[in-house]
Amino acid sequence: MDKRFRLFPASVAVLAVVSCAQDQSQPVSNSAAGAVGFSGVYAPAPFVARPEVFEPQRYPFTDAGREKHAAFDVLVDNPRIQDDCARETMPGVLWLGAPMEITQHEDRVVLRFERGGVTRSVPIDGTPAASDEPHSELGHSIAHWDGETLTIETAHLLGGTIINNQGYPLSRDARLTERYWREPGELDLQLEVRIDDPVNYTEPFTLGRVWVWAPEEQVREWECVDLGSRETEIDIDELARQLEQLE
Amino acid sequence: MTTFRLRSSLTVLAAWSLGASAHHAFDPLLDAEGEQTFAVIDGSVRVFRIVNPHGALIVNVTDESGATTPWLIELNPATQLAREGWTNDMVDAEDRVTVAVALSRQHNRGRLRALLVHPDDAEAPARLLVSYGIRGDTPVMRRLQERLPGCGILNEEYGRTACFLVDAAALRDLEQEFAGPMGYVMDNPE
Repeated sequence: MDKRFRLFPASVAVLAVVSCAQDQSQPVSNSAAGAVGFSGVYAPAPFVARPEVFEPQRYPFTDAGREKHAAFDVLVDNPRIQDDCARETMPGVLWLGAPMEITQHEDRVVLRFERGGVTRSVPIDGTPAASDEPHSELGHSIAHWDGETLTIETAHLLGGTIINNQGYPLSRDARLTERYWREPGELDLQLEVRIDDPVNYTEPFTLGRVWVWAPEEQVREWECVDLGSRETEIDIDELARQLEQLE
Repeated sequence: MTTFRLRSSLTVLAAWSLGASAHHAFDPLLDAEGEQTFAVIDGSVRVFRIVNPHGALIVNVTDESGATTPWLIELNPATQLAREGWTNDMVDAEDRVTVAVALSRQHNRGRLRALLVHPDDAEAPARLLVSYGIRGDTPVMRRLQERLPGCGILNEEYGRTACFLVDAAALRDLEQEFAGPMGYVMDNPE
């Protein structure tokens, strides 16, 4: 479970649950889950704080998408400038530089991201979202196996940007298709994400990255402390007093 | 490289600009040429905590008039720092430090580039902790690895942060070889 402490500007720490997907079913062994087993911990390559993201050479903007991209101001449009503990969103969480753990269950696959304490519990062969289902940071996801490739389809997002800190817009109507697979003889996980967002782009396109197999790693608990807005002056003495109270 | 003084103060030793890095989640102070700016401060540690999403070091800096300004210097996430062996007691309140800071747009706030923790005992070595912008197989990291012994307290296989021991003679040599405040951790020393 992720914990979140808001130290600033409130004088009292607030504990809130950011994500708490609970899995009732038991994990299954790799050999028993689908055609291949992806359960395990994955991480960015060593020496890399931010993993390389394979982006399209050219984003096929619609006029509206181009306008939003041009108007993007990281200080205004990146919520983490104002709030260190702003929730991570899809698909931005896919490109972050901390470990991720996959656990396969018979009826679902659970992806637990260290950064932001994000947990996605995705049913296998689940039901698409009802049209009146609320949109959310992570959207509504369902998964299926295509041979040895795990495919996750996601819709009902809040929208925002495709990559944190970068201004490639994503609308609430966007649909994401993640494909995870291994190259023959390798344990690293290849990820390709197809972005289908007719509001901002004239045609679908893909981004990708590699998750490096890291069995020696673990996904650590994420307790978030907001150090205060980066856009306005903060009372550092008050922040110091509050940090001093943390063990 | 552009060099300029932030203020005529003994406490903010210098500020200058280096190549910007576009992907970090803070708002770097850029100069007129769009390059990132750095400062070096001397002060006394108020508090050090490794927390997510950014570790926090608060340093009290006292100027010539006796006025004290607290600086907030941010580090990597606690989860990563802990993975590398960082702990809250690596830096204590009242420790005397010299800090190279990648400045944000707010004055007195930025990200840690390098932290020199001076010893209480003049005979003991200082500890030099290096972080942002130096990680990995970089010229600055190689320069330090060639000249200084490690502290032996961090797992440096991640290539993100490192700790070195610096005795008085080694520090003097570094300062002579790489001019400018903490020139030995700068990409382009003066």
